[in-house]
Amino acid sequence: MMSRPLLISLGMHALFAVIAVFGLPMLGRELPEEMPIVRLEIVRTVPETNLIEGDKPSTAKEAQQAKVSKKPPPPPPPPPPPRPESSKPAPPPPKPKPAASPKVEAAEILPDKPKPKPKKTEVAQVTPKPKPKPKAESKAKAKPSPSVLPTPKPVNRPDRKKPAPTVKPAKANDAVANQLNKLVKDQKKREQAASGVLQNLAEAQLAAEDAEKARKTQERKEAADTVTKTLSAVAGNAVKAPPKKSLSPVGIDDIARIQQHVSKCWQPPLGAAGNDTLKVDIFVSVDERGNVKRAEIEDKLRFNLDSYFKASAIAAKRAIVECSPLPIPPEKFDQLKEFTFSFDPAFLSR
Amino acid sequence: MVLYFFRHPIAARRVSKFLAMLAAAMLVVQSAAAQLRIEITEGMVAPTPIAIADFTGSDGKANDAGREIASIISNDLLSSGLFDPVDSAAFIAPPSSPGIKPNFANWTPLGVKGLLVGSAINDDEGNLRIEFVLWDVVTGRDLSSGTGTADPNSLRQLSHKIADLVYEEFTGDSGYFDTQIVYVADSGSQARRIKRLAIMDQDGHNHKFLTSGLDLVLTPRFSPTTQEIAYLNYFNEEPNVYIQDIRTGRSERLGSFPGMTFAPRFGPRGDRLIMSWAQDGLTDIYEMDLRTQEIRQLTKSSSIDTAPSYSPDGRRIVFESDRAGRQQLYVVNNDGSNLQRISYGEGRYATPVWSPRGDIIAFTKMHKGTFYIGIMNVDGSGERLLAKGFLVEGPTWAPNGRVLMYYKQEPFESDGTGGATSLYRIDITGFNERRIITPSDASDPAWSPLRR
Repeated sequence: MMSRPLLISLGMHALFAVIAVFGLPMLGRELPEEMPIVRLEIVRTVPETNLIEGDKPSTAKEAQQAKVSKKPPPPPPPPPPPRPESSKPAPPPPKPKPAASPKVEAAEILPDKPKPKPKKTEVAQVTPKPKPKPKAESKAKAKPSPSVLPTPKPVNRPDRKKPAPTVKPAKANDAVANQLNKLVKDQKKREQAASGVLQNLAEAQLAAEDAEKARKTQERKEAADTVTKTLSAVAGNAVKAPPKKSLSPVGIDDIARIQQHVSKCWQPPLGAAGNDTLKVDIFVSVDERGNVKRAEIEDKLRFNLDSYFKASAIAAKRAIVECSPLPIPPEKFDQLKEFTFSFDPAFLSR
Repeated sequence: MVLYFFRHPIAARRVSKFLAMLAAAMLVVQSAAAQLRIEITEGMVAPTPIAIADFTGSDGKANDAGREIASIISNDLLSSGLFDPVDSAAFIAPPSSPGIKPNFANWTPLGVKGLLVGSAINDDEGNLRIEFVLWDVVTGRDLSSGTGTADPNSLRQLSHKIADLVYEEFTGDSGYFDTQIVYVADSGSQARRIKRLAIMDQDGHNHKFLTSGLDLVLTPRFSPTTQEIAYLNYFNEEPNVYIQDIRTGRSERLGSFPGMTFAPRFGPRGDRLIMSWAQDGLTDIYEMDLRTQEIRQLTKSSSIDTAPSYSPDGRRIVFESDRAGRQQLYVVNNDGSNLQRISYGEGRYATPVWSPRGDIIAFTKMHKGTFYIGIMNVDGSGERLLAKGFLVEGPTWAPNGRVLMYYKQEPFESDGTGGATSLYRIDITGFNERRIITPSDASDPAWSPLRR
């Protein structure tokens, strides 16, 4: 009799205890699905430096070179060719020395190719032609020739008119010989006349005057020749050799050429569309061949804070690297070796 | 430049000489002091070529997963219209591991700007561990790198997250690939349409229905902060705003209002909800604090004010109203002050949606029997129409404010067929319109925020 209420009481207590521990059953309510496991940790790389190492614009190429470690020598060859060209005029004049100076330069970089060239030129020049010239000249000019002449002549003849000189100098030599003969004859006449009386003086004077005139015209001719030759040589060199750097002004066309060149490589992020403030300034320095040595994003603070700016800046820098070398005229290198590119994506919003 | 002419030749010569010297001096000074500046104002507009290498696995299973990851990322990037993933068959030497610096000489010939290299390993718990590095092929530097873990069901989501990262590194915009779309799936005959809420990934995968189809549902809207959707539900012929938790599937009516409530939209922090409330023949805009359930009236007019949308900072609201005779767009502060009409073009304007970036407003326009999806600046200037059709409506923004989704209905044929509806998305440049494949007719899309 007593046990029934007790049992009910115990049962109820137990039920409450169970509810207290496990909570009320959630009927008719779906339990939330288990949260899926998706974790992603990202390390964003901020370029430590904006330097582009060396001549080669991209480390991509460096990597390539590093792997093919034996091939680096070949890449350098391209650089030398321009030098030999420019130095071509140089080797011929110092015939006694030529082998020394150009070879040394070339030997460091170009073991094979440059050597044959100097040899050829040597061979070609050592042959008869050069020798007669100096002799003839020295004879002809022995007395009159101005000291300026000798240097330009050897420079020009070898590289400009190798076949021609043989003919022309011959004619010149003949003329000189004739004149010499005349002079000799005149002198003989004078000697003969010397024994005679004053009448002969006049003749002698005339002869001397003739000789003088001949000499003067010869001098003038030679001077004129040398002037034209040096002029043409200068002009020739100007065409062949790298022109000397002068302060020739940077023209609009120079700038336009660079602009056009870089525009082809520039692919601004379309996220920049409609944003007027995403102008990116990049300081650039180039070497004489227009290779970009350095490309530095100027607003580094914004680069690190503004993701739009960062993407725009990286795209702009990519354009510079991809478009290296830039079309920079060698004679304007001094003015264009350092400048700032300003990339304005406003055209995207047009 | 001003030129002076002098009659006296010597004076003129002197002056010109002086000018020349001055010019030369200025040139030198200029080059020394002020840097020469070259403006680049034109560039190429083309999808960025990129290489997404298959993630390399430790075994066959991981290799399969790695290949799938790469393919998901490639598809995401391709669908954006901003990338041109290079076919992996063109790879000269596929990279072996993200730990090794790739030989860029193998990649530059493909013209790619970026290269994604990754690895995948199955760990003891059956989860996939991945590692990856994103390289800038042109400069030869890594842009970013990362590690991740995913259970087998979350492989797609993990891949979308990586695709978002690539997108962000190259565009500066945050990505939108790891997002979902909720929409109204239509089925049944024209006379007896069944409308159900459905949800899927932005690329159409992982599709599932959220409601049974017993009640008519319209205009679902994502909460920016929680896994909740506000929508309009016709229960017992009475339309009211409901909120559903998409994880549990549980939904409940929001408050109890006499009359009808519709056109709900969450505030930018998810703590408020704005909607239209029609009572006694007046339809005005109200804001509700979701924690306290307090209601505040924002507009008061005898016209129909509806389709409200918050600015990203929550301070202003754009909505449509016919107070001037025809539907037009208006902006008002969130305390009801400073009301301004912003649309003045021809035709009617409706369903304005403020871009998550805050700079533009998307809308539906109706003019001479044609519907348009357009965008305009917040002050109403710079209107641009992006898409048009027999019926295009209901624009919704991707979380980065770069892409819009909307739905399009085909015209009806004379025999009563046609009228199919489907979802489309388009870049705000007006390019790259793409249809989203859904199992059935689809309308009223809403883009979720980026998943965390």
